[in-house]
Amino acid sequence: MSARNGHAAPGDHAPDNLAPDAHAADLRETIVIKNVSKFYGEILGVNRVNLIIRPGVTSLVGPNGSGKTTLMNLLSGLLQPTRGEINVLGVPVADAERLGRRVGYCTQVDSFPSGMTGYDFVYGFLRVGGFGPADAKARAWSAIERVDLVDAAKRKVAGYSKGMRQRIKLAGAISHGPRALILDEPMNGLDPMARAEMAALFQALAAEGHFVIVSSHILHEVDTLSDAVVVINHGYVLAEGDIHDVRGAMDADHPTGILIRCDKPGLLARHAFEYDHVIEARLHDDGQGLLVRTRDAEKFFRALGEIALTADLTIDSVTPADDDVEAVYRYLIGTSGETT
Amino acid sequence: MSGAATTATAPGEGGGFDGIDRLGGMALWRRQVGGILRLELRKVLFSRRALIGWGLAAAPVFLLVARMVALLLSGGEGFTHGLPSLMQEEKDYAVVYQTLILRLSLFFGCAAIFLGLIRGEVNERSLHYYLLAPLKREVLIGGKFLGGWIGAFALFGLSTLATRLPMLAFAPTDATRAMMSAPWLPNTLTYVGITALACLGYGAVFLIVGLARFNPIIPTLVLFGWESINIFLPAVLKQLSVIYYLTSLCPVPLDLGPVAILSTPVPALVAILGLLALTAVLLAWAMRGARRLEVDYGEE
Repeated sequence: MSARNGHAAPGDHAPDNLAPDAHAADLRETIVIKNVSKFYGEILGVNRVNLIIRPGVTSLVGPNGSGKTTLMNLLSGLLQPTRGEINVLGVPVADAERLGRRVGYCTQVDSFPSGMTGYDFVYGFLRVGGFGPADAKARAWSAIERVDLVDAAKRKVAGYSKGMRQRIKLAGAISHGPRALILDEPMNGLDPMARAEMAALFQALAAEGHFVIVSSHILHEVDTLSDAVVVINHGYVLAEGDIHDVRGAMDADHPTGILIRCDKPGLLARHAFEYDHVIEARLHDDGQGLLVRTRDAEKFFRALGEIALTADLTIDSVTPADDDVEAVYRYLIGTSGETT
Repeated sequence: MSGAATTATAPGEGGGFDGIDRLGGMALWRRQVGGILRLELRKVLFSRRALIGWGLAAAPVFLLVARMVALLLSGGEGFTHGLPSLMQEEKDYAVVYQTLILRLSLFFGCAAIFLGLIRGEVNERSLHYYLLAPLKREVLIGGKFLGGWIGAFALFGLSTLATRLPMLAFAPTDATRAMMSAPWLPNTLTYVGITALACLGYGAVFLIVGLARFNPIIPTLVLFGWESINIFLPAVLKQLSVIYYLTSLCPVPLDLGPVAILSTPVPALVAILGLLALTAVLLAWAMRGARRLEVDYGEE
């Protein structure tokens, strides 16, 4: 885990101990991106990216044009790095055949080979990959069933809704049983029910040991979905790791906000200021709580117990006010994620 | 979405490919090429994009049928000696084949088909469908080229055969007997063979053009110009074209007129081997280039 708040030179972002860590890790069980840059002529795609991705759901967040899709295209072999190395489960991305077996990519591109039905799309992909007719048929139906598109499978993709196209792309991506799934904005165009089902599917796949790498603009979904997050902007990785650890690493510059609902918020504020790490205590607008900003959330939680006993407070709830992807996004990128 | 449904395959090092791996190299490649052919033939022959190929293949057939009907209806009026003979028709056909068919319909038909293999997929933003499939890029290019060639030969081979039929109306006895004898049968087989080689040679050239990042229209027009002025080029430069080898194989030579620079046609074996070698070299080049093939539709 690490986070950078824009004070250091961009591109320096790298887990400091990447090399030993990468060597120690079993390459076949990780996705390793080592000092990777991609330039389109003189235009920067991503620069000096270092990441180690482990099984589970990893979310890429960043504004449009930040380099998310470039990074995903690099991971899937659609692009080759200008510099650096990428190994996906022990396979370099230049090895198209072996990489294709391990990676399923649901691209953001909403176009399909012309004239295909949903079933053709999945079946054809499997046949090109070398599956025999019977095996390809069984796998295609299994994947289509998993994304709940059986009824529409024999219809032309051109007539599908946006959500159905997203689902058939996902079926194609999972059909050959890849270990790593890369999903570029997979929730786009889905209704709330379908989004929830899709999120559940990603978590189920992650629980089965898959690597699920998702890019999304919907930060609260990222929050609930992800085991790890990668914040990217202008082609540079600004932070990566467990979201709470990332947030914790930013405490010095962006103290954690904690909302305490209690019966005597004023008294709590007076006691809270006795601790050095508390830098702000503000009564909540409804007068029923106190918003505390602290440089050390762990110390504050310990202190809160003592205050409650000393001041005889009745505490109803304690909730982090900004320990989420949205806060990380706002602090690192400077805009609200909702607008991107 | 069905979370309860079984996964397509259990995750693991081999994924769902354990059975496939047992096939071994050649058997797996055959399957993969078969999978590509399924898709390519549908595109080359039965998609909206295929209409260009069908149109270019059908144009000379319509022209020759219309000419035959006009001649028959007029009873050969305006013709020097009434209705033409089969031998005379062979001479006229040689002109039609070497100019209209080889230099126009087949050239542009191959351009449409073989440029579409890669460049067409980029324009339709569907190339990633193939590049994400677990197969070697070399196999992908080989499969696509084979699909393009089979499709092109199906269209233009059929077209060549169909353009040979109207002249049978001028057979001295019955058409069936004329079909089974010289010169119609051997010439027809030769023309169909030349068409097959033309699809290979032009196909390989346009495959390479389609792999390049620049707009393929300009190199296509430059190539068309080069092939068109071939008869006016000195012998050394003639050899740097596909049409020179194809016309060397034609059974009936053309009278090129006073302005053409004549040169001795290459022997048939040299022409055939030369075209096959050109195809092999360009295909190998395309396969090598495909290893570095990237897709970026510019969505970021």
